[in-house]
Amino acid sequence: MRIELELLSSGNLPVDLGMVRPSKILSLSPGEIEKLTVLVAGCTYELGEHFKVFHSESSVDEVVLLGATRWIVSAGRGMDAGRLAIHGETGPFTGAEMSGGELEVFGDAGDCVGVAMHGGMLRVHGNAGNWCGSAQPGRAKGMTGGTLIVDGNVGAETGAGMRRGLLIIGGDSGEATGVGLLAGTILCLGRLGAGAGVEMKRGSLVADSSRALPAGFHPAGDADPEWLRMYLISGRRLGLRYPQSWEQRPPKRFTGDHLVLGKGEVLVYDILE
Amino acid sequence: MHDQVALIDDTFAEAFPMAVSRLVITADSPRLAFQAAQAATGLAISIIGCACEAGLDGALSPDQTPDGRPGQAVLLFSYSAEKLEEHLFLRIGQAILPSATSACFNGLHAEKTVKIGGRLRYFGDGYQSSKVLDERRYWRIPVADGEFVLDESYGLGQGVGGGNLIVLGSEREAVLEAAEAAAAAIDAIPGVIAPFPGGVCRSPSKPGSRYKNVSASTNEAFCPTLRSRTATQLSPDVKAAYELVIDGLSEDAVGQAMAAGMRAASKPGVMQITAGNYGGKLGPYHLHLLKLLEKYPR
Repeated sequence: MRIELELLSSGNLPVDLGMVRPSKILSLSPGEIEKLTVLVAGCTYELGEHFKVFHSESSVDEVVLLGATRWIVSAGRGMDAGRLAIHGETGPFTGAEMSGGELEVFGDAGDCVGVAMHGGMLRVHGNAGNWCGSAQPGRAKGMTGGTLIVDGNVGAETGAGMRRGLLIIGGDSGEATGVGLLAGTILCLGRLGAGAGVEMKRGSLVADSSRALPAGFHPAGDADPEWLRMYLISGRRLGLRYPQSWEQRPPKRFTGDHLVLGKGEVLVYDILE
Repeated sequence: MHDQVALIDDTFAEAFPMAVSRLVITADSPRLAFQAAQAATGLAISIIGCACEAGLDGALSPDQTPDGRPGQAVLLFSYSAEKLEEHLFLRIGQAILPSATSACFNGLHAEKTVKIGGRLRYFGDGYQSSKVLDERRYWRIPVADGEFVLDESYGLGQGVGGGNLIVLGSEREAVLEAAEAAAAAIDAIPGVIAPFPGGVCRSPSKPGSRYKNVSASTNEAFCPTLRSRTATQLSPDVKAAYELVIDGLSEDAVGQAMAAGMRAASKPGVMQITAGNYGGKLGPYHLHLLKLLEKYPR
């Protein structure tokens, strides 16, 4: 079953799709779907007032959102199963609190993508904003599971407070990537911004390049860990292409942040002057 | 090629269920992976003596292993899940962990699993860490050449143990050559092991003994030097007999290996190929030699 939701126009008002979950709407008729509630600028509307709904047979159970704009908020929030494909941009909180299923964004996404995610697969084929895979505002724990991939660049505090899971950034990452990391793995195929890994307790942050790391990190020689090879193999299956240097030589390893627990590690292929 | 049908007895091998686990051992080179696998299967010849039978289940290329390095698959069998868990813990901890550059992964997806890495991690003395990838937890134990990576849990399945062939002939050299050829053919079948040295056993046993503390003893019916003192199963011309014991992941794998073994052992100098059974009372799998040749054609 394939359900297409085509955004008519939101008039530059935020449309909250948090209540539209694939697992919920795939069993509904088009009429029932049109009667679902969406919040537009905080007011309650029927989904049919803002979206055209199409039903078609498909071998894959999926919901497809067409014509999405950055005014779409919380798309796929709390998803637990099924597949949601978003064509166009999305706004903040895309895939927040996901626990299962597959969410794919064919465009850029706003801030807070995959915050407090704890399962499933979320992939953004463009760039994403700040606090990607981080904690909900006001909370301490970031992602606790699942896989979050952003093919492009991401903003600041990506993976902040992450507890488990895998976060892959295809491009560059902003300031304080992995700040307060509790565990889990972040792979950044580009450059890390300043303050990467600050206050991380455990977990792994791997990057192609970074400026000097914060003071609480100590060099621990070259690393060629088996676990990283396993992650790289797994990433290749997802279509990731790594920088040439990753295939040719081992990264430098730093442990830290020794100002807190110091059981984390940062692996960097090039330290920039 | 000898006339196979004339050589092969119309009898069956009696096999029984065994707990089984499969390990994928990797290292920086095929040689190192082989060394680690060899160490892990040491002295796991027969459940009679050490409660575990183990052997190599083939070399693996880098694209067949989780960490992209050359590997070696290993099968381990025991009579109970508890005993096998004990052996997995000991053999991974004592043989694979110390082997240079090694890592050890679960190679059997089964409903029942046992925590091995989850217990062995304490060797890390607080410096161990874990990674979860594709919903599978791995432990990283710091060692002097890097880290020993292993799965938290390993699958325990139900395999088949006790498949066997007995090759008999008038010249020891010829019979041994035939038995070794059979062992090589069995080795080429995936999912089975022949746990005896070189795959060949010269000491077929029977359960029990005239001594009360001995659980198994030599099977005098197959000993040429005892033919005048016992109810021998050897014809007058037979001077040597070698047994091949086969354990596998399934009845099908064991049957296929036995068929391959019979064909390979059908050489000049071999007078008879037979199999051991206990009248059908011991195990539920009855592998009839002639039927196996029909079921698994060349």
